[in-house]
Amino acid sequence: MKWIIEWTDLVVYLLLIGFGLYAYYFGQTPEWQALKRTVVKRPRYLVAALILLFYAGIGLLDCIHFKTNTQTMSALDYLMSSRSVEQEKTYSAPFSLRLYDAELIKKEGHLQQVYPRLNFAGVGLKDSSDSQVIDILIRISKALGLGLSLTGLLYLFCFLRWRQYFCLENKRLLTAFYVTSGVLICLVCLSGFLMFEYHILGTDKVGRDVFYMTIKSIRTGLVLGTVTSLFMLPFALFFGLLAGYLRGWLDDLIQYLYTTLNAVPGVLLIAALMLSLQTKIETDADLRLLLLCMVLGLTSWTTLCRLIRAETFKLREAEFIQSAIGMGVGKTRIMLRHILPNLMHIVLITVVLDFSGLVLAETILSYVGVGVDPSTYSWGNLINASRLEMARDPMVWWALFGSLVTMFFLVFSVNIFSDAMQEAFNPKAV
Amino acid sequence: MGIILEVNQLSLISKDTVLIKEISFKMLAAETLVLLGETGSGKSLTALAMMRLLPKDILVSREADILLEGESIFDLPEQKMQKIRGQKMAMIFQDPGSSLNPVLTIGKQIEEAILRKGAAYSNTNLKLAAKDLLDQVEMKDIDRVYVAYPHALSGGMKQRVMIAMALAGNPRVLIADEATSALDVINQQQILNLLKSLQVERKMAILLITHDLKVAARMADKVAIMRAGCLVEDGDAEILKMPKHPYTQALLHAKTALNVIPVSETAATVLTVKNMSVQFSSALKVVNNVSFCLKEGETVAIVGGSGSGKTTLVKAIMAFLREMSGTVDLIGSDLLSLGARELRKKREEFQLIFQDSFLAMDPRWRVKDILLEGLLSFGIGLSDAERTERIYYLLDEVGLSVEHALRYPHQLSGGQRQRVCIARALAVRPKILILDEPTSSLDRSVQVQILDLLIRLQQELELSYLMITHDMAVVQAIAHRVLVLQEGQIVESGCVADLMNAPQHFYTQALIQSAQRD
Repeated sequence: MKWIIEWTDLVVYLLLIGFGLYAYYFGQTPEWQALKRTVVKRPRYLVAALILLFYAGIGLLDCIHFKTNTQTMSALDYLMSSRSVEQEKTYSAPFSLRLYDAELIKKEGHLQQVYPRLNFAGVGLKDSSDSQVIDILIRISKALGLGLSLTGLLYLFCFLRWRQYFCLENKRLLTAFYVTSGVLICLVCLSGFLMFEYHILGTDKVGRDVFYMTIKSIRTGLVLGTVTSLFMLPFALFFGLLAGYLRGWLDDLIQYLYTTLNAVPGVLLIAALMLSLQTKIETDADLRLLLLCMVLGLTSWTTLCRLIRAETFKLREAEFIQSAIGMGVGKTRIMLRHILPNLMHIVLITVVLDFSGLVLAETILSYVGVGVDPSTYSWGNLINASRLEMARDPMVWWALFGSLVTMFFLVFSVNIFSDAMQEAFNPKAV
Repeated sequence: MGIILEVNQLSLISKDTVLIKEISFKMLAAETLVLLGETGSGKSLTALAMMRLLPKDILVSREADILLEGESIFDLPEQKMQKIRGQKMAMIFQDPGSSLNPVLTIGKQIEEAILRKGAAYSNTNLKLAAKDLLDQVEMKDIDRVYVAYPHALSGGMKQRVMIAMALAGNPRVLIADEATSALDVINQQQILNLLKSLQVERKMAILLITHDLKVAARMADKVAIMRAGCLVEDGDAEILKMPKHPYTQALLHAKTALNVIPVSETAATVLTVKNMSVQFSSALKVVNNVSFCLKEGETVAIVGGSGSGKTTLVKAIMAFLREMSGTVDLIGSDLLSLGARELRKKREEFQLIFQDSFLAMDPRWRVKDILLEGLLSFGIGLSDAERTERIYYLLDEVGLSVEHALRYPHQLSGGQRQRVCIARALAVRPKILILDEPTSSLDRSVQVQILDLLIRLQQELELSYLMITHDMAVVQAIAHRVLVLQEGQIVESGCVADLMNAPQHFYTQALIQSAQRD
């Protein structure tokens, strides 16, 4: 086994290192202290932070790649080992032992319609629904038992270590912490006990495990959301600030630029860029994801730029800006030290709201055929595939369900966490 | 005369802090009760409690009771209370601009207020009733106002519209929360007269909330003085003349302790403005051919009503505007002909202090950083230690302590904020301070402290002040010379004593009259 670094992994590692350095050097500033305090102030912020950490953990596991003799796999693949390769024949419902569609089989001379057994679910179980239910119940109780005792251990450890925080005042906070971490631990245990015996979320058209694909999509979603935002921020901030603060011909020019970009239908532009670029990087699915992030970032900075320009416009007339001018402070300094911090709230809100939009954009692009590589697991690809499955009779709902639920919790906690950040960075709340 | 409204033992509590402590008062028909107190003393909260409009996290104590015509309002269901608001009790606020809907005509908004009573009106009658109300609030040009949108009206006219809307329900109690503080003296007077005459006509009880002693003295039948949530003194208007409580005495007799020293004959001229005009895109000249000069150690006050071009003049002198002509000769160089780089360097010598100290500071900066900005920008002080020392020195100079250095602007009181603004301006060692109504958003006692500070600093550092104000009391306390500005032109100028005693121009006369009529 050899450790390898894919392009996207590299970006993620760099991001992590950057964030680590930032936290190391600026971790003591009042703003970050305030963020820490805010997160533990309201239970909902703590819950959101824990869920985000959980997602980030899964995403990071999926960012560690190594090469075995036969294939490249990530740490996550390793943990979910068998599920990454085993394939059924076609659709099967969640927890089912049989295929979703009947097959005609010639038995003792005449044709018979049967639902064949799955190859990788409930192996060794007798063919009755009773034994299946009992087996599932046993597994669930084992999983819950393990999960709850792990939670108990966590509780005990924290209690012994940080005893001074265990008082009545923190009751709601502690409850939130233990309920959330308990639920998360139990979820991990449940999937650990169930996923190797059953297809928790069924299988897709070519028999791949939907649960596995949904979990694998988390990395794609996270990368798409963060890297795209990071890629678009410099454009939006730079152009927005310049246009709003300096006005004049520069403002006209920048406005002209983003109006032109906006006038071209976004999908068309992205499709053109992707298609012209993909000839160069035909093979690498991972590089293509990174490329998509850049292309999306290139085309989506206009909205934020417009907002920032308008806000800068408003701020530059504020009296504290005038007084800074009166102090002989230069333009660059005013823009960076006065205006930028005062419009961070807009940036935060827009980035968070865009996050879900970006995941959806990826869906549309996959539909047109210029999204992430079809072999990359992504919510967009899953949703795109389920378009036809929903119209099918009997309906196949699990692929859509899985991606929607995972997406929902991610976007939801990002939203709530951004509230916490805003509260923390707003000095009036200190 | 009967008691219309009675407040008994009202206490308000938010979390663990007591905001208002056991205040009681009575309001009689056709009588004005003035609730006098400084910012934060709980005046407005009392008014909100009377309307039952308190925010949810503020609780009313159990013993408290407010009786409106003998009926406790805390027992009423919300539906009934809604009827009472507007019909029995009505309220007018400080800022009429934000209380009017910008997309509806004045006529429509008044008609809406009339219809809220529940009576049926035909279209013609409704229009007549609305116009009648406008007539009652002595609005001129009623037909034009009726179809106008709020932005087309002046502040005084908007406040009249608000009063007309409040009167639509024919209320028994009118609560005026700082209803005149945003208006200039002449408008203020007219509105107060109007309230008085409406009261006589309608036998309303008026609760006038104000921090302005002059307004209180003019209007009060009864006075109640509040401080930090408590009623320190109440009774007939006489107590404004003979206060018993030491706080009231201090409030009434707040006067600058220091006197201005006259400017020496030989003092050099530091600022000469010649033929300055400011003209934006429209044909109207906002500032029209203004010339004056300022000597070292001198204070020149520029007075004028709202819209007279005072603030534009200041911005022009600060070289914030481009749309101007004339010369501004400041210690040997013409500001308007300087290049951008030279102008930035030159700014070290003149600094501006704004009216609203809260808007003038970046809300995300600590006091320390705010003071540091000018030092860094002009390269004053070499090392960090030196700069920190200078910051502490400045804080001390304006009467603040070291602990304030780490606070954010919103954690300071109005007076403290204005002190920080003064310290910030002084940080770069300017020769001229331009002060744009530096005390008008402050309470009287704080105002006096700030004026004292300014006088002391002038004497210590030989500063020259150019001060914009509309308050004649401030002029008397601090200025050497006065310029009266009307519609962008200087209509009168002279030294303070001459101008106060024998004003020539009718506009100056009106300004001084309105200031002295208490």
